[in-house]
Amino acid sequence: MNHNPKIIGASIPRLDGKDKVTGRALYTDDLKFPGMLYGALHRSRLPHARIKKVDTSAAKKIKGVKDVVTGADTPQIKYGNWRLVPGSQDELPLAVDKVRFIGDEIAAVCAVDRETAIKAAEAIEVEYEELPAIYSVEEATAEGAPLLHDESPGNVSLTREISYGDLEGLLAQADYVREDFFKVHAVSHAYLEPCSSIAVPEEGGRVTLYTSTQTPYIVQCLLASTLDIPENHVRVVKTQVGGGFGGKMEMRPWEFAAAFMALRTGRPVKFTLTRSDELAFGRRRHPMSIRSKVGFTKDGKLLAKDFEVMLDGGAYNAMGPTATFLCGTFGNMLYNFQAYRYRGRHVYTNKPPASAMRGFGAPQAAFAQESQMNMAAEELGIDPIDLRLINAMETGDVIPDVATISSCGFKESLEKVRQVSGWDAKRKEKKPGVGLGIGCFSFISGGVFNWFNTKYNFAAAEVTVYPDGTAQLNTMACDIGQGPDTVLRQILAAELGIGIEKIRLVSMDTALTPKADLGTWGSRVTLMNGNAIIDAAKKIKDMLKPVLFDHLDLNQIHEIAFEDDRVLVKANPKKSMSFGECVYHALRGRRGEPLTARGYYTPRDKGLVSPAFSFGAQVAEVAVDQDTGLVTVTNTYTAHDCGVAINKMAVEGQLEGAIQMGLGYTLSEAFVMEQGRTLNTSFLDYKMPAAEDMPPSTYVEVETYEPEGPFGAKEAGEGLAIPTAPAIADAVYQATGFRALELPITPEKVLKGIGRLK
Amino acid sequence: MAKEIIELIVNGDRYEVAVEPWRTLAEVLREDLNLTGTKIGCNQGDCGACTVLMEGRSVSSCLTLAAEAHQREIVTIEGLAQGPEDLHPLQEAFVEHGAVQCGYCTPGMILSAKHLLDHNPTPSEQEIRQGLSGNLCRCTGYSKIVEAIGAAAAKMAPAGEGE
Amino acid sequence: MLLPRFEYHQPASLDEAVEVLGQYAGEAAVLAGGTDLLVNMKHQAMAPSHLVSLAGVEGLDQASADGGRVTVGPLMSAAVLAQSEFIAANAGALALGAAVLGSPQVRTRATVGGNVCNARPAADMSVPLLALGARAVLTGPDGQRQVDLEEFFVGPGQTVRAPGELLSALEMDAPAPGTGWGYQKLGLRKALEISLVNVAAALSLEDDGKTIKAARVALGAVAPTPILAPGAAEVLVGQAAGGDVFKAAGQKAAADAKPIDDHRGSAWYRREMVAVLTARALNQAWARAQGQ
Repeated sequence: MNHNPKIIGASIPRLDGKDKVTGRALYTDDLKFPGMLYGALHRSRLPHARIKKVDTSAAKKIKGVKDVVTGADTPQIKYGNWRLVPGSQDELPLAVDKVRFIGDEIAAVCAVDRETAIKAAEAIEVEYEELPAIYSVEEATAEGAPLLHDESPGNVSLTREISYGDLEGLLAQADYVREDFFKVHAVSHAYLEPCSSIAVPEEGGRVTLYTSTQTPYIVQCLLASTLDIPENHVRVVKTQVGGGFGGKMEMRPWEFAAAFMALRTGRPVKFTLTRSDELAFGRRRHPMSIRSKVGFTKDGKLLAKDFEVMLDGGAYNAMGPTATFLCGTFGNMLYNFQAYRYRGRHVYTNKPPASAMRGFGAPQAAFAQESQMNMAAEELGIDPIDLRLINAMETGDVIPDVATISSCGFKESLEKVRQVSGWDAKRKEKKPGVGLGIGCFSFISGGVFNWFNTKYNFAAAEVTVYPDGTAQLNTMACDIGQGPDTVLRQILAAELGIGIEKIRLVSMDTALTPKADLGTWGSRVTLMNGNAIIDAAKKIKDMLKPVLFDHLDLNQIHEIAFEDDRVLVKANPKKSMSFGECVYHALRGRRGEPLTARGYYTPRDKGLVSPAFSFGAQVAEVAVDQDTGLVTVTNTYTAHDCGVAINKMAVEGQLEGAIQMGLGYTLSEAFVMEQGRTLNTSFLDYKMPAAEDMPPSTYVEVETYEPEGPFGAKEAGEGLAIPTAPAIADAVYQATGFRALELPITPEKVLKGIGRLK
Repeated sequence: MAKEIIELIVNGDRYEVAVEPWRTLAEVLREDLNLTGTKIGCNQGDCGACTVLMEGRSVSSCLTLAAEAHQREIVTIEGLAQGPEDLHPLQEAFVEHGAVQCGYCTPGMILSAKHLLDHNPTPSEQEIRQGLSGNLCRCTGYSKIVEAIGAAAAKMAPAGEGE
Repeated sequence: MLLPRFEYHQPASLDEAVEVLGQYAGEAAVLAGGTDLLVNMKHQAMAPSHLVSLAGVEGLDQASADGGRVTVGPLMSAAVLAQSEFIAANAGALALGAAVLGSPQVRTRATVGGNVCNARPAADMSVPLLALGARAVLTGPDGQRQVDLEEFFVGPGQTVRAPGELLSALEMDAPAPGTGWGYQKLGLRKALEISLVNVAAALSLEDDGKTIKAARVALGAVAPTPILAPGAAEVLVGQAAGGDVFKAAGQKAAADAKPIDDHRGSAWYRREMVAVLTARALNQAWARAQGQ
């Protein structure tokens, strides 16, 4: 726990802040290259159809059109993020035989300007044989349902099962058993920056892709495989990214099309999506149908849980397999019980594919789990916080086959949130239309299960130090707004004992930064890359320490410290030299070889899921307008164990942003779909909360020290997206007597629920 | 139809540009003047990322024709700082208070904030939130943005005013 | 999201504007604030080959009162209307609607004339104007004509305005003493909303300060156009103002509404909300009427 409080735990403003407030920060669509062409896609107009013919002749005749490609022109290699299971790779960059959702990409064009490209894309004619389409998991799994993929009978692409303990026996033994059904809906990541990519052709059939992504390494690999060229022929450079939230973690058809046509035309090709494209065809959070059965003793001890989930995956797997996998994990987090059975099925439907989105299965699973805890608490006559305390996980607990919890501040979180929210008094005081509710969460700090099947370490860092006292950090870690460009420099600065301003960062260029980093997802970046950086920095320090022993003729029992841009004898700080001078002397002995070290991190022997878990609890307070059913969240209180917060301001920023997303998920955001078509394709109709809609938020830190994390840190990005929905749902119940088992909780549902309407 | 020459006064600089009438101010700022600080988040006037000031009032530049901006004074995010290190108090406050995450909404947020403070130098928190109601953000939950604007207002207010 | 091609005209006077419009009648659209028109054009919902901008026409952005008549210039922006003391005093419902339209950026540009001519069923300025009993003054090649706003709207996006005509003014009677206005808008967000239901009310009291002399209730988003709720007005007039009669008026208004199910909300919920919002708008109007 020996760290510099000026750096670790400080609220250091993000280092790219100035660029972002002055408009200097460059996002992909801000870039242009000489000779650049503009791309456009032709997408399926039907939800499910066989492609009989694609006629591109009219498009090709349009003046200014430089290339038109269909699936037939491409190598036709399927891709998907689960390389470990090749059968799960079910997507083609451009459709060949079939289309499976409205918006499925069929052809791409590029032209001298956007207007011509759009005109050409519209001029492509597709002859379809329409097939019956299915829009819900119930329809999809019904007997005789039309199949989306021949390889997946029953439209189930993947099943995950977990089973331990004597489920039936314990449920039979339980004093109190309940079974509930929950339904949650799809929402959009709604990052502010629409996706954009520019492919620039290079000599030798190579290509550089500038793209708005949160997983450049994955894009590099999958782009190479779908183009059927060596991985090393593809260089992916991440620019500034205007948010991702899981929506930018796969290779996308326009990235392929840009690269493919850049190689064919010898000119740079840019694609930028519109907001309507994003909302109509973009990835989204999985809708799920959830059944949960739990058994308790009469004094509130949770004995067993039977948890069944059907994920509505849309037309392709995307990141659905991981969500299916993780739902099973999140179904047995937070509480200890002896028997658990999970069955998760990923189901295809003729809708835009669902994929990873902040929380990755946990917001859905927790809505069910936490709502059910609140319902059980009421019937058991135990306060919901007490019920949780009875069953809460603690440091050292083991989740069978999954993980050992190496740090856990869950109980402290419950106690703290009880206190700051004024829980005990407010829950007693029953005021019609006003309520207080709770939801809790736990989340992974990165995944262990190597579904991408990388041969490299999960995170890597290259550190070089210079005689002028500066350092360079090369990392593939991906800042999409959450802040690792700053946080990782804090970690390096703290480890090397130099000022953060001394560190130049080169991030996210697959040709320059060390292999690999799997990307920004699963809240993995700080823990995994932080560890890789510390590993590299330690190697650097080991190269520098001998200098001091040499120059000061030290007794070998001394320990050397690195602080305030100096290298010093710990027991006698006066004996020191500047960091730069130390590097200078070290370099002199290396015959011209720079002082560079690489560090790595891969979680090993940490169970199947994650090396560390965050915990927390949130209380929401609502006021319900009993005439209109409108729910206003008037306050939120959150207690959060993210280990040691490396950057407090950044953690708070994650919390406040997560509440906006959680609020939208619970109350106002939803896709309106009709026959596979998304009807609300603007931010006017897709209603994410604006500034006036946000409640005040109180935040209490529960600091634990995570032994597996850099300087004790664990995740802070995604767990916070989990508790808001069950907390609000519980508060609405307290206020009105209406318990929502489905999201979103619209005013209509509330009014209906409280019996004002038939 | 032929292009027409229009004159734009952007951040105090005069530009003559030949534009087709169907091109928006946002497109011309970004593509012809290379002022890419103005962002396009929705291109239909709902998100506020393209907000600029025209004659001192905030407008969505994606819903303003370049032709309509002929001979008008435009301020974009590039026009606020006096120098690379000499930021406008709003810009400074956004950095210091952690009001920036992905940064894509930031230029529009700052210009909406400037519009607000130009017309109401000492806004309440509620007025700040109302002033931002045309700017969507997905990262920050708005709290630190609201805080930053409050702090900038206090700093900019003449002595004796503000909070 | 590119605009389709068009020719751009910027006439310098009303006469010239009418002339240009006449020349391209049927192929031209009038550009005022553009916050609705340009969105529709980007969505390819319309593709006029000529845009006639009113930016160069002077005198259309003022409000005035003259001999018992209030005139509102069609180029007045929502931002200006929302802040105008004159409008607050003489056409208060319009100020209330303008203040909650869209967002600050939209309010800078959006004009009352555009809001009326676009004829959206939930338009934030049209519904109040209907409650104010406004009349549209149309100027065309053959001169001027006046149309009551309730006859002006024909359907979503459709009005009686002929292709060669321009909305040159909105007029209404000056408010009687003891008049107050209310405006209620229901949406999931506090801003950036197209109302699920919106209701405007105008209420005038007798000299006794209690009895309702005149009332108009207008409804948005519950019919193909903004509509009046005559049933509501009927139960109000002659009664003592107060919660019970307002509730009754709400029920009548709900009966007058003709909502449909769409992706923004269901018909039955909308009808219920008409009752709730009407009562609230009347309460708001009553408070203001008493305050005068």
